[in-house]
Amino acid sequence: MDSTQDRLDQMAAQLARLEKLLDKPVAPPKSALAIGIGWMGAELPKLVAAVVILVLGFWIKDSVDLAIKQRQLDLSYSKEMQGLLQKLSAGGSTQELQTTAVVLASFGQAALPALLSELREPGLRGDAASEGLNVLALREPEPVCAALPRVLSLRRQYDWQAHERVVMMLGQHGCTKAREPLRRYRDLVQAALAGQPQRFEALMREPVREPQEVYPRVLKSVNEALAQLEGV
Amino acid sequence: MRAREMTACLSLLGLGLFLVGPATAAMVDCQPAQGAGRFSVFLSEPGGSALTPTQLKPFLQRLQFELDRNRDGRWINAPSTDVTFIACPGRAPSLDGQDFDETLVDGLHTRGVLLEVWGTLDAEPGAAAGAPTQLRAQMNYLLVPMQFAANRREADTAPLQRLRYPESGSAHAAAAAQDPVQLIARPLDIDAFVAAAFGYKLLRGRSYELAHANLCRADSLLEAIALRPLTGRSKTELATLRGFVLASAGRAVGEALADPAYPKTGVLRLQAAAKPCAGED
Repeated sequence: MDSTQDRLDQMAAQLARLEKLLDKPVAPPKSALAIGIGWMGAELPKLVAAVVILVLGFWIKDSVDLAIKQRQLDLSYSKEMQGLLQKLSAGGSTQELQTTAVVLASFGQAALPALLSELREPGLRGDAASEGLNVLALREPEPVCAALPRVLSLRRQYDWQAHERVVMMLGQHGCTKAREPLRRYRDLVQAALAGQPQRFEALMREPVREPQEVYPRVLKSVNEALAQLEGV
Repeated sequence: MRAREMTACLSLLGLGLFLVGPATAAMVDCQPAQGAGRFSVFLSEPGGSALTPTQLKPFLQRLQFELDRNRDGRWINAPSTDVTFIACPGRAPSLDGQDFDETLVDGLHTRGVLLEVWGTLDAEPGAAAGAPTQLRAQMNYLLVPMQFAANRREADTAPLQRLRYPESGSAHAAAAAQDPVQLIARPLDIDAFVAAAFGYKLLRGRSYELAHANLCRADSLLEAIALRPLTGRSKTELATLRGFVLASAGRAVGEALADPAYPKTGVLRLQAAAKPCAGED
């Protein structure tokens, strides 16, 4: 009797185990990645780090190569531009100076400091530099638009004629980021017109010869440039 | 890519320059007198057959000296103003004045240049066999402030004046026929044009009294030039300029009277804008 009862208990226990086993979800087969990750174990982070360093290394090398090449190009441009600058400073006819300035502008952004320096000169040299900057702005407006507003705030570097050229270029080339510097400059000119020229004159390389004629003229140019920029 | 674009660009420019060839005009820069109240008259190289290239510079220097030494200075200076003659070797504008574009005139105006003088100077063989060569000149006078105003459509005048020397039958003719400096250095003409340009420049700067005095002086000097046997374009251009000068003198009176800043005791209050030069010499 006992033995029968024991056997029945054993069978019930086995049945219960079987039922438990049937309730458990069947694990899906493992992917190759999971197998790989499992296989690599603690070595995986080291491998990832190595790959990242490799990619960064390539990227940095590329940037450094590019920067070195850019520097070499700038150096080579500087040597070539030196001759053109000497030609500008030696003077010449209107056509010669303008042609030289346009060729200078064809060196792109590298010519910007030279042209801005030439813009300080009165007469035909200043006119030629202005033409060069115009040509450069047609090709690469961003650096020109970024550099020109600073001219309007430098002290004793440029005369009002150069300022007026800059103001007109900012308007003509749609330099929208120059709106605020132009408004500040307009405030100075308006103050000068109202009899307080000190802050405006403090910017000038040479004292203004005929303020009664110059202030209204510069104000008109600034207003025209701002009107051009409002439409952009 | 960038370098290739640059090379192509430079090549195109080079090709363009090669095709255009060397520049023929020689508008080199000339340095005007520096400083507030200082004004300049540019004496540029004349073309023509009378002078060789090596003679041009000494000629200009002599002309400058002669004008400085002999000028009566019949324009009217204030203690704070001065007009200086500047010799400009190498600067040779084209005879028709085409080189004076708006940018160039603007640069001259803003740097205080009142007048630019240039032209042609030719040597012609004498009428009789063995007679000395005769010099003839056509001189151009560009009144810079008037040209500046005309470019801005603010004035309708004749900013470029042309006169021929020597005038036939004048006493000056015989004496000047051999010496190019004597032929060209005509104080009356230069004084008239300087006074006109100076007066108009001062008017733009609202120096009413000095402007008025110079414009009226210019009017009387231009009247004297008009008495010469001028013909054709020279005559009409001179008459146009004289009319403009007189109108500008009237404008000086009108603007002074309308300006609240003009002194109550200012001499222009005694003048009528309709007859601005009445009582002046």
